[in-house]
Amino acid sequence: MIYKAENKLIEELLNKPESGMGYQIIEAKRPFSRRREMFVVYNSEMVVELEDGLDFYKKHPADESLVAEPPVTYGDKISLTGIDVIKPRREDTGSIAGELSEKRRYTNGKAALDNALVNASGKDTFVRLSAYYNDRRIDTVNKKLRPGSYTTTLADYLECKKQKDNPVDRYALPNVQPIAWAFYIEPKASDTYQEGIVQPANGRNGGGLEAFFARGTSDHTFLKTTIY
Amino acid sequence: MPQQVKLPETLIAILSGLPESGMGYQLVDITLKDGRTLSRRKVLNAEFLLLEETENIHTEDVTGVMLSQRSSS
Repeated sequence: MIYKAENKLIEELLNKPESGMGYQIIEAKRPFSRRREMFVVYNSEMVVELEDGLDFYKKHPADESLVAEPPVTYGDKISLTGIDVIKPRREDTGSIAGELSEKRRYTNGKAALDNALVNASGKDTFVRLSAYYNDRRIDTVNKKLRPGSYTTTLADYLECKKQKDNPVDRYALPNVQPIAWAFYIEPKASDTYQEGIVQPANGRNGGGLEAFFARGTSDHTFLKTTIY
Repeated sequence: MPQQVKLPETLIAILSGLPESGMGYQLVDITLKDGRTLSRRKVLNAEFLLLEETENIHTEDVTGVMLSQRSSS
């Protein structure tokens, strides 16, 4: 059966990653039901029951034939709870980096917030990309990165440029203006951060490296600003 | 290009001190002076609220802001 997602469900699905471009395969429960079912969702709004889905999908984890051309007529509205998006299974390399795709983006790995806190080396440089010269996460008075801020690594930034990649897509940004500025940060060894892979978001693919500084960086760690 | 509206300075100051959701943006819940709440909206550089196509919101309409809860993936 085919359903149209209720508005609240659409909103929730839009904030979850895709299983592939334009669709999500999900496990969820209907209200007042204990049974978890599988569905294919197109464009975060058309919900199609995936009959016998769970066993089939576990045997055929990346079978794109599951995702046929979406049907064009809707049925009733549906709401769901406890939604888990199922992503195509990829080989677990056991490292943050994982495989590299075209444009040298990473194709698996967890987001920064899902990885452990580590100390900076005191010698590595991170780069924050922004459309704004007055980027508000850069404390220009104390020359540091404010708490709760993201950057990428210098290496990934240089790779993005070398590959002539699109930074808005690589870092999954909702930007309306293009990236124009690069802010260079060299955290001290006492500064901590979490590193990971940019997950798909905002209709973008991600795949770049990200670093999250929950506590920001020490004074005098902001080095310079350049044009992107 | 999507429209955007600048937030009031007091709310910019609040968001500048709160964590980002990604490099350069935050997912926030916005309160308007007519009592409505807009959930999980994107704010760029702690100051520019991205508007949907038919929305007509002005700076002075926005009275409150808080970070949206992080959703599970």
